[in-house]
Amino acid sequence: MNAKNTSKARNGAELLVQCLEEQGVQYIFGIPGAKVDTIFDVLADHGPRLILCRHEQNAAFMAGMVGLLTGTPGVCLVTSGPGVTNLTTGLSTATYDGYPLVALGGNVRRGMRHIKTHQCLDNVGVMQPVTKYAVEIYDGNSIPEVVVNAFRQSIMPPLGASFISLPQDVLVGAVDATPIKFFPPGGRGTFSVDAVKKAAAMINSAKMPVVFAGISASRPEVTQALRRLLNEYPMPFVNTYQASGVLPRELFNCYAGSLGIFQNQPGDRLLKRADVVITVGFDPVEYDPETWNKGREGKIINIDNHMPVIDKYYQPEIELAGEIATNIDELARHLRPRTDDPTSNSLVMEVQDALLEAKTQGAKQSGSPIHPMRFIYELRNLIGDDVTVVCDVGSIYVWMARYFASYEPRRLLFSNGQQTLGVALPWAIATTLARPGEKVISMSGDGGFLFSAMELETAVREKCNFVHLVWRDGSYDMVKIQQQLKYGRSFGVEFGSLDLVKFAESFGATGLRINRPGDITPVLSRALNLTGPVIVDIPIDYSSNQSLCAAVHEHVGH
Amino acid sequence: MEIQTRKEKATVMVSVKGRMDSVTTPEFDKNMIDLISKGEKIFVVNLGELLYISSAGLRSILAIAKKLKEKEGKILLAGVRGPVEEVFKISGFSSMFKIFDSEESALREV
Repeated sequence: MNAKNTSKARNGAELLVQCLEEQGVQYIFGIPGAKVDTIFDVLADHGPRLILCRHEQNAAFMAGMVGLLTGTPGVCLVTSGPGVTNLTTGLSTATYDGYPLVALGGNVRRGMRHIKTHQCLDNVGVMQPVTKYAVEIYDGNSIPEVVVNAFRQSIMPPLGASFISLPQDVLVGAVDATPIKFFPPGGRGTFSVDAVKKAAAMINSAKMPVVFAGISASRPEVTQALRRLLNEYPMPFVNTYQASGVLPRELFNCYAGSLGIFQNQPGDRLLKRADVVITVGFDPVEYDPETWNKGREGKIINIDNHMPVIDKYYQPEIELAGEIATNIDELARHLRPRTDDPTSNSLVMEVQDALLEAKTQGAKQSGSPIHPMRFIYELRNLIGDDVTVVCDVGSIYVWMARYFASYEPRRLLFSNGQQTLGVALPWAIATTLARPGEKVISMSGDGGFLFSAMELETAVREKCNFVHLVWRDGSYDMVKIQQQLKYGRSFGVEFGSLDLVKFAESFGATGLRINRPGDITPVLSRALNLTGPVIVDIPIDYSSNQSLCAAVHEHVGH
Repeated sequence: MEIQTRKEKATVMVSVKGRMDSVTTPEFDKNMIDLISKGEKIFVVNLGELLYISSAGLRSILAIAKKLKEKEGKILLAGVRGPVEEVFKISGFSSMFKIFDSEESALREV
């Protein structure tokens, strides 16, 4: 970040930048345009550092990931018209997946909003469905109020996107206002003693309680509280993809798998049989209750920092509302030591053995192209817990979410609400900025890779150090396997091949290829020690991908 | 499963042969808990002739390690190889425990 400027703002744009400085923003992911060039002119002198991007959607992905990893909403800045509409996928991903960001979009002068003119758009109308807060600024002096509320809304649970529309004349116009300081949202309140006692009594009398951790369980304080609880009162544990890494190795006895798309995992059987499911920070968008809870007889205790959405298939018996960690700690105070160990019943062991067996068989795969399970085995053995792995959507995401064991929260990251293709490379860039000096790996299929591969230029220019792995099979495989399941054939899912090594080199990045299982560890070791972005092409054996959705009902596909 | 124990100064040397699964592991548990209740705190467990380990075996080793940690004792594993070594890698146990090539090298660490 450049030096903070506290002198009186010369126009709306400078006041806006001062407000962003006040919120602690370090980076702006932006694409320039005439409607917002006043802001760029200010950023040339002071304010957050501009990361120039190659597409607005990717700028939003980067902002969201910086927001999640730093705790301060990330900021993206785009021009009017298509600049704004190109943001919509990025903002819906942020809002549905829980990534905090504030997006700034230009608009035509206020006096031209009523006519059909160049790049004129009802920005707020476009953005309202995909954000938590969308406001157009009509008076430059209201910039500080709008900015501070946009930031607060973004980080109020559930996390998501805010959008501010900026008419060009507001940015160039004179202002008198001064920035408003950062106001952290107040706490979410404390527990209800009665509700906690009821929940504890329900768990104490349960035969098979199961903890089901969702996205907000990956908040650091919640992860710690859950670990304390399960150390003291072991219970079987499953998690959604975005809660990967909540359990450490030391709680192996509790772990029964990552659950999500396609209800066919060993852990799903456990969830089905549980007489009490304790959801912790779970968002139904992560795993549709219709899929895992329809026809289930057990009760649900919902622990979260915001109200759950009630639907036909999600009706918790008890809600512990407020700070999640506080509620967990208080719950632990009311639990009684058990005479039995709910983690050692035969079903839990069956589930754990099934997971071990799948991974053991996967490790033995020795053919070329490389089998996903062999690759995951080698990768897991190579990298430490402190490496951040960001993963794109597609079949790769199902393989990784189910079988790549993560032992620290927010070290294995997915888009699990909108399941947006193309997030991985932009997220890798953002992670190198939010976690400077740390190792970063991003992964995508060859379908997802070209959704955002243009940002490789951004990565080279910004000298980002990360390794991006591309599993290449020449198809939109996750769609293909579902078509085959539904129709017995596939259509419109095969595409051409490209030379990813040459592609990487044409950007000034390093391109490497892994052809055989024996190459995985040496090539990845080399890649992780290179400077600048590295693209690794990995022809992949997707011949067993049908197993990913085996025994799945038609309605659970995506 | 076959379990043999002997004492090397203050260390209990435990040798496990065969399979550690949900049927056989309770015997290992019982042996270890008996020894711990008699005041033993330092264990070297030789898994060199263990052919198979299931989640039941893993959770038993983990539970005993936790119990010993509470008593300021410790468990060292030796001779983990073959399929058992694979399961240790896959389950994260290789990173959790100090694993030695042989009983002798484990004893030196004690």
